[in-house]
Amino acid sequence: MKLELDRISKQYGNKIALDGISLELQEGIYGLLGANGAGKTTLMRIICGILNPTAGEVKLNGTNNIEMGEDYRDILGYLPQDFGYYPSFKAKEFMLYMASLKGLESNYAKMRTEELLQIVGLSEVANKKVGTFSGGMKQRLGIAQAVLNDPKVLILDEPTAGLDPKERIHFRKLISSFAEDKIIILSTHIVSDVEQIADQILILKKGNLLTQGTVMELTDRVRGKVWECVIDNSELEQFSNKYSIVNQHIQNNQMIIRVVGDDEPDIKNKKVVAPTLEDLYMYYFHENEGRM
Amino acid sequence: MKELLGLELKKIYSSKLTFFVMLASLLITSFLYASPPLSEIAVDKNGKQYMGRQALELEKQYANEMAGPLTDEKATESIREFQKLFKNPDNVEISSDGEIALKEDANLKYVQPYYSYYKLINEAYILPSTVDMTFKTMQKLDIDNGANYYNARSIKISKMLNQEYEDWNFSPAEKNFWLGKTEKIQLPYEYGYCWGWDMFLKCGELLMVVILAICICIAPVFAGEYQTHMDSLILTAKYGKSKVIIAKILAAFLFGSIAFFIHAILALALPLAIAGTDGAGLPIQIINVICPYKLTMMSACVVLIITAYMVLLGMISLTLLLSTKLGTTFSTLIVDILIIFVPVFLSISETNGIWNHILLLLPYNALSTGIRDDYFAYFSYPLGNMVMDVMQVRVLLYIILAVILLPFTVKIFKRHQVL
Ligand SMILES: Nc1ncnc2c1ncn2[C@@H]1O[C@H](COP(=O)(O)OP(=O)(O)OP(=O)(O)O)[C@@H](O)[C@H]1O
Ligand SMILES: [Mg+2]
Repeated sequence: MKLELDRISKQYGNKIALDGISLELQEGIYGLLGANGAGKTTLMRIICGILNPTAGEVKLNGTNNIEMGEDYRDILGYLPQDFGYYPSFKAKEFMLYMASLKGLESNYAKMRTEELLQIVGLSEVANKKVGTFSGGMKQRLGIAQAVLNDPKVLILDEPTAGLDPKERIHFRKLISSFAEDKIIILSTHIVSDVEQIADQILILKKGNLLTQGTVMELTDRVRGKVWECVIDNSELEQFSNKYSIVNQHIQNNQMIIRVVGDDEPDIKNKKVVAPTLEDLYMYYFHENEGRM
Repeated sequence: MKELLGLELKKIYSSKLTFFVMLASLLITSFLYASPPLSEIAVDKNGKQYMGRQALELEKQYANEMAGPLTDEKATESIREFQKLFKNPDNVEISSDGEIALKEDANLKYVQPYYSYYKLINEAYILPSTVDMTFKTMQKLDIDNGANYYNARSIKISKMLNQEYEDWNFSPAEKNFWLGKTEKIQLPYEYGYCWGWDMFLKCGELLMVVILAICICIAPVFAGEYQTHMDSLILTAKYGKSKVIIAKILAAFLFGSIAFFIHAILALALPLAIAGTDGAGLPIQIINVICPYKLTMMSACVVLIITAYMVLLGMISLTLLLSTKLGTTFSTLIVDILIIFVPVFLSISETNGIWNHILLLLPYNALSTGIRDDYFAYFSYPLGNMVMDVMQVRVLLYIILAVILLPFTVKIFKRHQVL
C-alpha cells in the first residue's frame, strides 16, 4: 500500500498554509511534528478528502483519493483535532452511529463497539451520555470511533491531547498493537508521544516539510550539537535570549541548562550530551519560541 | 440504512430544542383552535347572551330549524317570511337613513337566530364580491313569480366570470373551466349546522405555527453537523456522502410528517369536540353560494390539511437546503421566518393580476382556502390551453419545490469543506 502526497499546497486567501508537500508513505507509523499553525491539521484534512488542496493531490496506490470516493473512505479512519459528538447520544449509541456510517454490519458493529469501548476504558460509561464526558473521555471515544472499521489508513490529529500520562502510555500501546499493515499518521507537538512508537518522523514548519526520517536518523543530525551547561542563576535570562534552551533545572544550587544549536555555546562549564528528539524539535522550532 | 434513519430521527427528536419547540407549538395550536369555540357568543330570541358550548348549542338549535335541502320553493317561502316581517307595523321603524328597518327586538327574534341561513339566500341576489349585511336585496326582491334561487346563483356566477376587472380578466378557457366545475355541484344545497368544520376552514393560516415549529426543529439537520464539528467525522466515513444524507432527509420528512399530523388532527379535533361534528357532509356552498368547488365541509377540511402538508413538505425541503448552504441553524431560521412572514404583510394589488397570482401561492397565503370569498374562490392559472385552480397549483407547486431542491442539498453537503 502506498499513500502519496503529490505537491500539495493550500492557501487561505493570501496565507499559505501548505507549500508544495510531496511525500510517499508506506505501511508504518508516522509522527507529524510541528508547532501551532505549522499546517498539520490542514494537511490531515486534505489527506482525508474533506478539504480541497489549492494544488496537488493525494493518491492511494496511484488513484486519486476523491475519485476513489466510498472505497477510499471505507479504509480510512480519522480522529479530527476538534471533533463533534451528540451530547444526547450515549457513548454506545455514538459508536453504533459511526459504525453504521462506516457501513459495519449491525451485529459486528455491536461486538466491535463493546470491544473498543473496553480497550479505551469506557465500557463502564458505555450507557452514559457523551455530553457528560470529560475532555479525555471524549478523546478516547474519538480514538475508538476512528478504528471502528479497522482502517488501513489511520489519521489521528493530536490524539493524545487531553489524555493523562497513564492514558498516553495506554494509547501508545494501542496504536503499536494496531499498526500492522497500516499507514498511521499522528500529529502532535508533544515529542514524547511519538518518540517511542513512530517509525518515521515528519517535521512540518510553516507549511513546509523540513525533514523526515527515523528517530535515530533525525537525532543524528543534532549529534554533537546538544550541550548541558552549568551557569549562574543570574545568567539565565541572557543565555535564553541567545541560545535554544531545551531544558533547565536546578541541581545543588546550580542552574543546568540544555542547549541545542549549530554553534557551540560560549559557556565554560559544558559537556556534549546524547541528543533526543526533543532537542531536534527545539533545533528546528526555536525561533517560534520568541527570538528571531 | 434503517439504523442510520433511526439515529438521525433520534437526533431530531431527542434534542432539547425540539422538545421545547414542539411543546410550545402544541400549546399554541391548542389555544388557537380551542379558544374560538370556547369564546363564541350567541344571543337568544329574548336577548339573553350565552357563551362557549351553550352558545354553540343554541346556534345549533336555530340552524336545525332551517336544516334540510334548500329548494327553490323553500327559498321563496323563506324570503316571503322575511318580507312579511316588514309588513307588520310592530316590527319596523324608520332608520337613520330614512328607510324602513326592523326594530331591535324583531331583529333579535326573527332574523339574528337564522342569520347565516338568510345570508345564504340573500347572497344569491347580490353582485359578486359585495356584501349586504341587512339583507336589503332580499327585502326588496320581487318574488311574485318565485324567487328562482338557483337561477339567481347561475346569473351571479356568470357575472363573476364575465365582469371586467382591472387586474385580471377570465379567459374563455378559464370561464369554461369554472363553468364546468360549478355545473357539477349538486343542487339543491343542503343547509344545516356545521360550526366546527366552518371554524377550521376559517383558520387555515394558524397551521403556520406548526409548519414554522417543524422548520425550527429540522434547521440543525445539516447546519448542526457543521456547528458541532461532526462534519469531519461524517464526511470521512464510508456512507458519509451517500446514505447518511438520504437518512437525514428522510428523517426530516418523517419527523415533519408525524409532527404535522399530530398538530393537524388536534387543530381539527378541538373545535369539533367543542362545537360538535355535525355538518360533515354539508356542501361548502352554504358558506359561499357561488363557491365553485364540489366539496363537503369535511372534504374541504381534508383539502386544507393536504395543502398545508404540501406547503410543509416544500418548507422542509427549503429548510434543509438552507441548513446545508448557510451552515448555521440561526441563519437558516432567519431566512425561513422571512419566507413565512413577509407574505403576511404583502397585499393584493388592485391592478396587477400577475402579482396576485404569485402572492396567493406563497406559503402563508396558501394556507387560506379562500372559498368564502368570491374573488379568491375563482382563482385560476391558465397554462396554455390547460387551466388549473389555485388549490391544484398550490399542491403541485409545493411538491415540485420539495423534490427539486433535494438534489442541491445532497450536492452541497457532499462537497462541504471542513475549514
Ligand atoms: N479556515 C482557515 N482560514 C484561514 N486560515 C486558516 C484556516 N485554517 C487554518 N488556517 C491557517 O493555516 C495555518 C495552518 O493551520 P493548521 O490548523 O493546519 O495548523 P496546525 O499545525 O494544525 O496547528 P495546531 O498545532 O495549532 O493545531 C495557520 O497559520 C492557520 O492560521
Ligand atoms: Mg492542528
